[in-house]
Amino acid sequence: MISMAAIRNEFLEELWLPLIIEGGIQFYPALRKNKKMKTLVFTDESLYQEIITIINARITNEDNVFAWTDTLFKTSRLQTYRPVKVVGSSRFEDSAQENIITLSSNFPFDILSIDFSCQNVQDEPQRLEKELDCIEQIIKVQREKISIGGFVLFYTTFLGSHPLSSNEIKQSSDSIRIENWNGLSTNILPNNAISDDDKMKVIECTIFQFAQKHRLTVNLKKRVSNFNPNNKKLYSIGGIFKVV
Amino acid sequence: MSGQQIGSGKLLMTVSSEIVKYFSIGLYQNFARAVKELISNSYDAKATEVRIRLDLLSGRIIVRDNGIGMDLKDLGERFLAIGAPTSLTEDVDELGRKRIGTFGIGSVAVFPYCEKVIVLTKKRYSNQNIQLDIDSSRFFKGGTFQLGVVEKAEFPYTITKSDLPDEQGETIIILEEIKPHILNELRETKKPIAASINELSGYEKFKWTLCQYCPLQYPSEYIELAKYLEYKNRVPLRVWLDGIELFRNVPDNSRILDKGEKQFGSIKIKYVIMSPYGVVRPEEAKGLQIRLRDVAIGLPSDFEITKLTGKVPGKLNYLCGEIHILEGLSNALMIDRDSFSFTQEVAELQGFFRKKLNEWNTILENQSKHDKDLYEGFQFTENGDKILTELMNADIIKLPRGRLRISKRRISRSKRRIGESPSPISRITDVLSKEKGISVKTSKIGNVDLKSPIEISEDKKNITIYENHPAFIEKVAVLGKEFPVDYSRWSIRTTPSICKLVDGKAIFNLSHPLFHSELSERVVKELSLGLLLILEDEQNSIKLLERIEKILVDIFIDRDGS
Repeated sequence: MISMAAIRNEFLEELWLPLIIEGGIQFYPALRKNKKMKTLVFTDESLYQEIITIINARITNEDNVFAWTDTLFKTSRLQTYRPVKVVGSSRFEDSAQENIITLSSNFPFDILSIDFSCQNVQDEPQRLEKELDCIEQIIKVQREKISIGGFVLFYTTFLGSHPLSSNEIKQSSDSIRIENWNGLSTNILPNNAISDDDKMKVIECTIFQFAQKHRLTVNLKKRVSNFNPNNKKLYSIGGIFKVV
Repeated sequence: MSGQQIGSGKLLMTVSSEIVKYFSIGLYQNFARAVKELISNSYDAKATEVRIRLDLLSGRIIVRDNGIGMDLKDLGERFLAIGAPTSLTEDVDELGRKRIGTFGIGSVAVFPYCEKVIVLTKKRYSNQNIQLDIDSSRFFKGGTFQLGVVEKAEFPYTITKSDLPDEQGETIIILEEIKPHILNELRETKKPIAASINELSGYEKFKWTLCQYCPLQYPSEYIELAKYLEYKNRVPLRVWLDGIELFRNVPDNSRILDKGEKQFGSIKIKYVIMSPYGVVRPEEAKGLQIRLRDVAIGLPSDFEITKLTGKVPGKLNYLCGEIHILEGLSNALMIDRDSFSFTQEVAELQGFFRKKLNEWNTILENQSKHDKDLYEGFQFTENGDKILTELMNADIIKLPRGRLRISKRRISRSKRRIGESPSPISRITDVLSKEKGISVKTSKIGNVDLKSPIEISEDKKNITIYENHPAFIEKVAVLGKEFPVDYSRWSIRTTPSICKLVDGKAIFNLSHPLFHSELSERVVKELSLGLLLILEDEQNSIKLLERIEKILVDIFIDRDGS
């Protein structure tokens, strides 16, 4: 049986790390080595592979890693394992707005790995909609704090068994008002995406529009695991978001 | 669901009134020693790893282990049962360890240093996490343990589903709101290497204390030490502080001088005496560290084998080591775990090691004297440094040059007074053969370009010195010319009185007072030879030379000739 750790490692090698390295080249071209890219990472792995990998690749250092875990147990494990800053010990999506305020002094980040699969995911209705709302709020704060350059962002989650409603996403997104933005376009999307393919299509299209809404460009790349234990097919999408 | 509460309640703390009096007088001398108690708990809980994080920014310290963890029963009956003693039996657990905690005070040791203690734990083969919150500050008011408060103390706990595999256990102790004076001390920056731990930065002092007390691994470079003192079939405990693994304190470059096993009545011990061939730093590491079940009992100075206060005689400053109690003494351990009750057997043990250290003091004193002779013997020899390095690598010279007061003179005053030959070869031969027990052979070789002027046999017991090697031929350079040097003695009333030229060799008169003056030997030689060369071709130069030599004597030698 393939472990989640193995799947995440594969994502790290094939999606996250190449994009992070590319982002580093684009945003810090003068620094060939020892980049200190400020990184926000949602993590829970026992060995924190993603953190160690990017530190070892000299993309960042311990001082510039801000980790989010969902329990005090995980926070303590990570803090005793590597002296990184752990900025939260609760499920981020449960009170996204509050958590973003908690994090506000640390924004903007160069790398954001918003990995909800680390957050005790429950296969419950409206979960993906809630997560996408978090993603937009994070993109919004990021964009408010930068005027040039950009950042690398990944959204990782389990696709789950419940349908994904594009109308729900539109409702939440449209409540975040931006000048000259006419609202999220959902015409071409299925309202209730049930299949994994449809859900991925909705997510990709939504994140692309979030970027447009907040005056960013992005070329999105994605990975999905073949392994599907208990409706937990892991999906990750991300890209280099650049200020228009 | 992980993270979601599935139970809650309160646990009662029980305290033995016997134990309370010790808290009121301050059980632990410092914060690090209290944290060490948490590590001892981890060791007894069959942990193989302990990771510590000093988060000074947040004023929080986290100690996490991968031991068996605790359930509610363990928390109530052991963790919160303060002063419920457990006898130190000889039982060995599945990791090959004997229990090291005995007085049931481990957890409470940290109470005086923080406002709150959070215990997070999961017992092996359970799927539940327990979080216990202890408001520790209320137990200590003005440094005194508040018994009245403790008798009624109840602490809330919550239970959640664990995210760890069932077979894994875990205990995390979080000390929240560390007292400001502790934080200030830990933040204090000072020099990284110091004569005493009190001169170290707070962080380094904390680290040093843990490395001294805890049953850690020896640094990998001390293979012999680790192998000799290892506890067979015991699974070791590894400890990390802020992501960096800690190892047992061993003063840099220490080498084993003596080791063995010994019995004093019911006490059986194993010991190692070491020396870094320099002063042991920090001074708290001087002497012998007693270890019971691999845990330090006090500091070396606490055991009173060597009195290290004030001026320590001779090379006792160079000695360190460990005494591991293999059998006995468990019941003589005092509650502060820093000393034993003073029994006849303990007195015998102390007496034995006092004698041992005094013997080694004498050996090291002699060793340093002989090494000094070798340094002085080779210091003016061509490639002398290379030869000395070879002798050091062969372990014939033990002390580093910097530790010895090497005379800058080729021929020391004392040697000349007793009329010893100034030849470096004869001095080196004397030291090596008489003092170091090495068989020395002097030989002449045809090929003087031989790489090394000495050859050391593989067993390091035989040395051949090639006396005609250019390295041993002393030369003096004057007016662009080099002259081989030799020494002799003649009356200073004879002119020239300091130096003469015979067959192209410069012969110097060791009886001349200028060689006994504070004047540099090189200056005397170059000046006297230079003058001799200038005047050599002149008519009536002898009279002139006599007068110049007299002026030199007048200038550099006291009127009374001293």
